Amino acid sequence: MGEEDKKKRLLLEILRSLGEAKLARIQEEVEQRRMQEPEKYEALTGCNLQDLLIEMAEEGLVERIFPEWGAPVYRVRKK
Amino acid sequence: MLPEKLRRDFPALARVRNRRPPVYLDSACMSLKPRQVIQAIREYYELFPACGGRGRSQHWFAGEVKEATERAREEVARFINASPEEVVWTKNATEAINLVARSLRLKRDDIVLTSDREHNSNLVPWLELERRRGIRHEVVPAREDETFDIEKLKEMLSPEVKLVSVVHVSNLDGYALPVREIVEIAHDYGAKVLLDAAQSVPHRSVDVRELEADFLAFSVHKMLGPSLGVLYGREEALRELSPFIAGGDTVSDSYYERVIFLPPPHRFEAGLQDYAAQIGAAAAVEYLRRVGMRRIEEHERRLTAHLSKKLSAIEEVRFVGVRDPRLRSGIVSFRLERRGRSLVAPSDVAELLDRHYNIMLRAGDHCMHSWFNARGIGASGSVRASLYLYNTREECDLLVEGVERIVEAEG
Repeated sequence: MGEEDKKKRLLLEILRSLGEAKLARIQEEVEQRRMQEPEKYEALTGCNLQDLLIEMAEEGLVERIFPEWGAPVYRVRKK
Repeated sequence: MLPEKLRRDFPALARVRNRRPPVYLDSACMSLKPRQVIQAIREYYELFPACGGRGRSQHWFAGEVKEATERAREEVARFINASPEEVVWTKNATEAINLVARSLRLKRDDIVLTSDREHNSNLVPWLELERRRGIRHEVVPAREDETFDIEKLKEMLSPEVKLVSVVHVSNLDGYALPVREIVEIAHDYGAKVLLDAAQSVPHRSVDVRELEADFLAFSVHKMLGPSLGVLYGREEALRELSPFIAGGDTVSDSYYERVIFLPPPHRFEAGLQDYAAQIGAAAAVEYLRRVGMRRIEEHERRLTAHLSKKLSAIEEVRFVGVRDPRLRSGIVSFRLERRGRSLVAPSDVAELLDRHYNIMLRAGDHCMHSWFNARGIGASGSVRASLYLYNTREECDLLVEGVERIVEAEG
């Protein structure tokens, strides 16, 4: 599995556990998991999560929902 | 404040999207360009787009290139009160710092000191030398209030310290380090001093004779000009550097077994150069000089104070960097937090401001990962608004309005 795929898989796992979340919450969760399980979440170190989530939205892996005004909400797209 | 008519010189500011003008608050990364600079570059390409340099073509157009680029070097030198021989053209400030890192004769166990708020361009080259040549890179930690700790520097200086390489004005928060004092103390220990002046030369009057630093690096693209860098080196300090990238235009003669290098600055400028950019650089410093560096500095200081004051009225705004707002000049970094937790990610703030207000600013760690990591802020970084001579109070007010709206939307 390539580095990018690994990052996406980890983010999907995190997003599934959060249900739906904004970037601030996702970043916080990533930081916590990196501290608790550094080896597993090492791939997400220094990663631009926003860019990655936008890419995942374009690929149909996640939904990026824009409220009328405010930060976008992310959730795993149901198959 | 500077007159608003000055904004008419910047064609990009006349653009409109969604019936709104652009609000450009990202000049710490790249400044906008006035039409005078664009015109100077255009003239090169339209009228004499030929080779410059020493000992190359000697025709009509080449003569004009030579004349224009020599004048450009003189103009840029005069802008910082240097002599033309002390000005080396580089790709950008990063390359200028790398030039010093690679060419200064540093050996195993020599120490290079930096501050703890360096851009990657003044951190990574030293980490690389640590790995490759076994030099030692040490960091002078800041005081509690995030200002530079002169006493700590004094403690860390020793005969093994060969270079103190510090940022002049920080790209994080516009804080100016006490560089005159740093230079004096470092020189007492026989260490040379390199200043990363990428955020100072564009915004304030910088006089290299007054500062007495050995080297100073800056980028022309942050000061109204095209993509180009400058390394200033005190004449004797430049002579001590070995050639960086070698090739055409760096030597006066060559044989199959040896070469004779030219004196500085030419020995560091290998191959065909970006002549259009050099000519554009002259136009940029001419423009800045005409407006007046002291007026620009004062304009930015007032805008920064205004913006800081209005943002501080928003409960969720947490400033990043030096605690004292009076020490911020031209740059304001902040995060939105509630009860100690990130309320809106900096990159979301930037996206929303761009989408709804055409406010362009930067979010992230601003190439200062080390600073954010050391403070546990991680990769999310901060929102950074960086101001310049074309910005207005109204634009700052619009930014505050946008931030208030973002906070309100979070309930």
